[in-house]
Parts: sequence; structure tokens; C-alpha cells
Amino acid sequence: MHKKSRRRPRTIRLALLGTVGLIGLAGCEQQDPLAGHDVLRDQAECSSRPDPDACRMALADARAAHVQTAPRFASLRECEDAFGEGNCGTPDRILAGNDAFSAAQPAGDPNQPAQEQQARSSGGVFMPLLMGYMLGRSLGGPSPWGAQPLYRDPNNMAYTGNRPLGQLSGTRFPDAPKATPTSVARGGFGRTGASYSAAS
Amino acid sequence: MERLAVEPRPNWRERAEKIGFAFHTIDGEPYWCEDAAYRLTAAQVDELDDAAQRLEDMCMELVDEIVARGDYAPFHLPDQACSLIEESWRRQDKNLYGRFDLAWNGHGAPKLLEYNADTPTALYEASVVQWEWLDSYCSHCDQFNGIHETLIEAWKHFGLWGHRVHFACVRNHEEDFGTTEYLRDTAVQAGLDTGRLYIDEIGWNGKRFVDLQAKPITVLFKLYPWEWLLQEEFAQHIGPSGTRMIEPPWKMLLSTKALLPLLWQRWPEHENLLPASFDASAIQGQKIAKPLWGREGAGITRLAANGDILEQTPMQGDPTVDAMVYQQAIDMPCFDGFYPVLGVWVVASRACGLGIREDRSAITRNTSRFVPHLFE
Repeated sequence: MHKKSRRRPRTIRLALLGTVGLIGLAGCEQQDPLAGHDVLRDQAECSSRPDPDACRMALADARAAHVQTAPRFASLRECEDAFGEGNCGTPDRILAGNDAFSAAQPAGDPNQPAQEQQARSSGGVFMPLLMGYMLGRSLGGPSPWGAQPLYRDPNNMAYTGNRPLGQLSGTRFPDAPKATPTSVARGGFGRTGASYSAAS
Repeated sequence: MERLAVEPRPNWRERAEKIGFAFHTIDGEPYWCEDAAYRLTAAQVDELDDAAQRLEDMCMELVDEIVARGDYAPFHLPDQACSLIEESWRRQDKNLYGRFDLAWNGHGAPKLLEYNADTPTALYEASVVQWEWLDSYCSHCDQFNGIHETLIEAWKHFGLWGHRVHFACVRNHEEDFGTTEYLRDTAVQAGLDTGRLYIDEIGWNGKRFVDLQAKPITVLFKLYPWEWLLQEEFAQHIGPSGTRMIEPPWKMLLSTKALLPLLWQRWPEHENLLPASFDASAIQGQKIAKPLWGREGAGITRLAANGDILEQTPMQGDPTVDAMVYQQAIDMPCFDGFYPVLGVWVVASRACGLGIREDRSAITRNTSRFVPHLFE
């Protein structure tokens, strides 16, 4: 009795290869998830707005929400895998900072004593650094403005809390802290296979 | 099981290229061949399916036992490999794919010739190209082929959301590149973010492996054998890098020919296994000597009962390890002067498809022809 093997009908689609069966990747550009919102780097940027106090209040709320709702990781490495090197910290460091960026810390080996110290004092919790705030008209509540904490990963995907918002397209979002340039060695793999196929 | 003479489609080259199959001809010789096809029965397909699944289950059990014992001596691996293997097995790092090469003529039990557990190719041919052929050859026929959807489903269970999966292979090799791109295609369809680079482009920044933009490579699919990676300059960084590798390091326990005697020791007389040993004198009659780390049919020797060399294929490069394994020689099934090897694919440890390669010689090599199959 025929059990597991495939039964027709069946269609194979290809996303990258060939010229048939293409899934329209190029045709489905996503909208910038921040379109229609203002993006602020920190509370200082509220000064130039028409309603600076309400803005600051909204950002303070968002900052508190950040510590409550940011994605959490058990190690610095796991966090940096998701959000990029130098883009993670511990909650206490993040709270101690005056704004989103002052909490940035040099990325390092998670085994280094300083990092262990931090991990202990934070109960082993790491979270992405706040990249900014998304500010929009509030639909209710005491303030006319509502703000949400924003993170982004190295692939330019924007998040708030644990929720991916979508791919960021433009330059509207403030730059991520620049990682210190490090020298990269290459060519340390591939010598054996340079002359023949790796296949079997 | 029978070999059918088939009229090749006049436009088969264009059709193959249209679906991105660029390596239908290798070194001027046809590799994809549709002047023949193998026809099986549904019962035979089920038997192949079951045999490969049984073998895969046995392999998983064997890995678990080897790691529990910590006995890696038969594999001749560098010390570093052992800790990588143990860590990846305890972390339960998922494996993507493998191909069991079986000898069978449709009668008796299929016999395992070898398991390509680390860097198998002939995947796109089996998954996509022969299906496209079947579509035009026989609209009511079926094929043992769920490889494509099983790959896409497998990626979804790898737990890689938020990561970019980098795909790497050697440069200037169309077949490896095609296979790697096909796998990347299935990952994209599973919703994963992907990147690609050549294996020699992988960078090391002192803490992490990085891509050409100096961004960390957190997940790496490498169509590049583990035993090669481990003897190269960056080998020392693999553990500290934290990069998740596909295939995972524990696949090293299945990807060398040491698997064959170990399976036979653990399941002696199993119907899908051939007698195999690290000791030539333990095998009765004619035997096949295979280099422990051999690939693509290179360095294979057929020995007479008295030890005389009957047939030998050239080595590929210098043997890194001299160790050999010995497997009892069998009369390879032969159809119209061609010796087929049945490659049953496992994806995420589930048997899900078949690709047949045949050769005029009983030793299948990288120059063997890929021939489609069907069942009714």
C-alpha cells in the first residue's frame, strides 16, 4: 500500500532560482512601518516641538514601558545575535542613562568579568538598547501624545516591545551607535576546497 | 524496478536552464540524462522510504550512544571536534539534510553503500529537475519526491527567526553553488532572512565570524565538509564564535565512512547493512576499501578475497587520514550496462525523496549521470 510518497497534484515554487515560478519578492516592497509617525531620538528633541511638555511626558512613559516590555535575553551574546553588536545592555544600565544612547556600552566577550558583574546585578537579563521613540497622536489618555519604544536589528527591522513592526526603508530612523571598527581577517576557511568540489 | 528508454525532450536544455539548473552538463559530459528513466512500483517506493527512515533512526541512536560513551577514536578527528560534537548534540542543534546511497534492484532488502550526511549534492536535480521532467513525461505518474516542501517546513522549525542565515560554498564550482542557492531558496520561502558568500570570504573580527559587511554570522550553512573546516586556520574560532552551523558538528559522526563498521557492529546482520569493518581480514570474500574521509567515489579500491587489487579510482588530493574501512563487495544491480545508485534523501531526519545516479562503472563518482525516476 502506497503510504508516504508524494501524490499529485503538487507545484514547486522557486523564490530565487530560474525564471519560472518566481514569487514576486521585488513586487511586494513593504511600507516603512514608521510612516505617519514622528521619530525622536531622545527627550531633548521635544524642545523644538509645539507641545514640548506633553512630548517629554510621552517619552518618559515610553521609556518606562521599554524596561517592562523590551525583548529579554539570558546572555549578552544572544541579545547581540538578535539586535547587533553593541546594541544591548542590562536594564539597570539602561535606566541609569539619561537618554536612549547614553546606555550604550562597548560590546565584549560575554565571559569577561565586567559583563558577568552586570549580568549578576541584572539577574542575567539583557535587552536591546532603545534606538528612539515613535511618537503619534494618542487616541485617549491624559496626554495628547503617545510614544512607543523602538529597537532595530542589524537587518534594519524595527521592533517595539517584542513585536516586529517591519522593515525600515529610509534614513528617517536615527543612526545606530557606531560599533568600533575592528580589523577583520579573511581567508581562514576554504584552503582545502580551493582545488576541488566539497560535494559528495 | 526497470530502466526505461525515454525520448529526451528536444528542448530539455532550455527547460533545465529556465528553472535555474545550470549544471546539466559537467566538463562537457551530460550529467542530467533523460534518455532513460527508472520505473518503480509504489510498494518499492515504500520499501525504499522505510529502509532510509530505519537507517536514519539507527544513525540518530548511534550518535546518542557515541556521545554518551565519548568514544571518538574511530573517527580520527582533531581534539577540538569532540567538544563541538558534544556541545551541538546536547544543545540538540537541528540537522538539515542527508542522502543515503542504497544498492537495490527492487528485490530483497536495499543495502546501504554509504551515508552522505554532511555535504550531499544532487539535491536540486532530485527535488526540482526530475519533477519538472515528470510533469511533461507522464501526467498521471508519481515520483518519490517530497524534498522541496520538506525542506521549507524544516527551515521553519530551526528556530532562526531574527537571524540572518548565511549560505557558503566554495567558489568557481557551479554544482556546489547551485545546490547552495537552492537550499537558500527554500529558506527564503520559509520566511528566513538569508545572505550568501563564498567560504573563503568568511571573516573573523576577533570575536565573531563576519560577512562581507563585517556583520556577525550567527547562523552558517556551509556546503563544505567539517573535516576540511577543522584543519584550516579559522578552525580554532569555531567554538568561541558561537556561530550556529548547519550541518551541526555532531553530523561528523555520520559523515565519515567510520559509520559503516560502527553501524554493523551495533546492528550486526541488519538487512539494510553490508558487513563492514576497520579490519580488512574481518570481511569475507571480495571487499571494497574506502578511505575514512573519502568523497565522490575517490580512492575506492575493490579487493579480491586474497587482497589483490581488482579496481581502483584515483584519490582526490592528499588523504588527510590514512585510515580505511572495508565493506563487503556485492554484485551491484545493473540495468542495460548501467549501475544505478539509489540516493534516498532525508530532510530534518525524515525520508522524503529519491534521486538516482548511474554509471558505466560499479563505482559511482561525481561524473555519474543523474537519471529521473517515476512510479505508477
